[in-house]
Amino acid sequence: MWSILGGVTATTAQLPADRAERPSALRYPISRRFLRDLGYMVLTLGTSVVAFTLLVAGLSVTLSLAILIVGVPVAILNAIINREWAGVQRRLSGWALGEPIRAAYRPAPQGLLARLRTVLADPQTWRDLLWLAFDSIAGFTFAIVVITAWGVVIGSLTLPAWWWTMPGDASYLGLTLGTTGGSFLGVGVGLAALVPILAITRGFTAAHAHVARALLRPSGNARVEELTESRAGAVDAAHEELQRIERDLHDGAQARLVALAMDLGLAERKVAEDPAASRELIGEAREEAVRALGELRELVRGIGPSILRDRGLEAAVASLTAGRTQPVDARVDVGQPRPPATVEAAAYFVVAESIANAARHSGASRVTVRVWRDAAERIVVECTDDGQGGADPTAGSGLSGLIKRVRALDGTLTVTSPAGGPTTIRAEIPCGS
Amino acid sequence: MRVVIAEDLALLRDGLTRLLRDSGFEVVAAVENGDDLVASVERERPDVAIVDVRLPPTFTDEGVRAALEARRVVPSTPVLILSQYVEQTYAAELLADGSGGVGYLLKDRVADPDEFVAAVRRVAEGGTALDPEAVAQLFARRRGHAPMDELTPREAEVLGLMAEGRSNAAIARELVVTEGAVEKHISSILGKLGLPKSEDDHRRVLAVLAYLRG
Repeated sequence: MWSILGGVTATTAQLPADRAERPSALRYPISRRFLRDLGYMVLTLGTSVVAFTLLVAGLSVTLSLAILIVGVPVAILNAIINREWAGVQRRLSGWALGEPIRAAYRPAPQGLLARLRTVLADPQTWRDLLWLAFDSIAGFTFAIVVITAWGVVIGSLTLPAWWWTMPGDASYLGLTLGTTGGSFLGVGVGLAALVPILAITRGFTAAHAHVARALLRPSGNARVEELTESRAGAVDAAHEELQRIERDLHDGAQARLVALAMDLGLAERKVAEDPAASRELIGEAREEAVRALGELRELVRGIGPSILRDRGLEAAVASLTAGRTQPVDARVDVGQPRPPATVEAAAYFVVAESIANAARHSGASRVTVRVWRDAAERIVVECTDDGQGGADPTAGSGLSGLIKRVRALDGTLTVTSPAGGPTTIRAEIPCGS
Repeated sequence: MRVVIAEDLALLRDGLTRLLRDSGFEVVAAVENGDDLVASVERERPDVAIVDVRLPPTFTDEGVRAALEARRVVPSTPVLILSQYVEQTYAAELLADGSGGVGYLLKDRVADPDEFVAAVRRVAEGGTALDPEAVAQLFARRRGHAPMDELTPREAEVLGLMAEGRSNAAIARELVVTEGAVEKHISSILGKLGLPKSEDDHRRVLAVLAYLRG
């Protein structure tokens, strides 16, 4: 659950995973589409009741507690519940529309009050609420009309079959049916009603799903905000990276070279009076030089391994997993042409960080890595380990840097890591236009 | 001579300790953060504290701030700051209290143990040890100002060595001239810069630095 409560950044901009695999609505046979519409309307009866409950219960509880301290977490919880429900509705309406509905919320900062401010300032919070109101009234009405109409149509078409069970003076649509032949009137009415009712079903389904899309997808402003933020994230990520490099140099190679110079200085001073001690110091200096070289190499590798540049993602991941004590089952196939260098690098670091996390924190015994290119030209990276879970991308780990890196490329990164495991890190990075 | 070292990297902390012990100093404390530095200065009253600029937890200028705090708690404690880069603001902040015994050296200088040890002694005795790099930066800032351009190349050289904290004798050795010649240069420099004459090496350096900073 933490991914909902703590990792809004990580999860909200996510596209439904099966966008690419889903055929468009037009490829369904007509009858399939009507069945789907009908199914959607039946489900809408349920969702409208849930929406009404959420709206009334949420508003009354939140407003009545608003003046108390406890009102803050309650309001946030209310917004989170509404968001989750909006997510369900997005999937449902996306299914009816044949194309997914995007979601975008402002990322939640640390701290309850700050988070409340962000939630209140996010227009999507209010649009979610508006959706609940729409679904409670219009959704319910649409569903009742459609279901009743289909009840009448099916009842009419099958009237002759019912005839035997009816008493002599049975009435149908206000008419009193006296004969068996009269029951076939029902079949005629049913057939005549079929076309308009099919149209009503299609129309109500389309109207409901379109309103859902209009209210639940990011508005134009939200998209601009999202882009602004991912750009800021890119700048942040670059800055953090530079700071990391500076720090690694300061504490690593630079410090080793200072120590080396110090050893050589002492050795020089002692060379006449104490050759044995000076030889020892020179030996230490040489070791420091080797270590400094090693650290520089690590650092350069951290900027981007040359094998990634030279041979691509498959070779780079293979070299990453080779020689690890922990078994890594990696399958990489991103096809041709090669993805852009920034995409390859992001995918590479997702794999590297996932493997490192699995080794460092989770006590995993094996890691599975899958990298492929989906039909929508996105590079999908999925890393799963069987460790104890509980990875938290908000805890200032390498994961938060990864999220920024992936978002900067307009991609998404989700971390699913329930306590007890398994941990799955999934990134989807568009190859660009 | 009793020394306190504050350096967060064990590699350099141990290296400095070895170098100083080897050179006849007594390292009474080797700590890794600013708070411990202040505490050990207060406890040990060392002859000099050698402090890395960058210490935990902030890894920015923690060392300078801790050194200033140590000098507030135990006034006039000589402090030699070590850094991997020259930031003249830090040197200026330390010099600002005018109580002497201030050094600011690049870590590179430990490569020459004798020079380094001489700088530590100079600071411990209340003198100054500014890194040539820092001096060069201060000079660069004043270049183009009228009195500086009036200095002869030799005088500029002498001024640089003065700013590093060298005594007249040391300057004479460095330039291979007599001490008398150095004194003549110095009085000419002070005259051109409009600074009061002083017999005290340290005061003289401070005057020059104050001029360079202004």
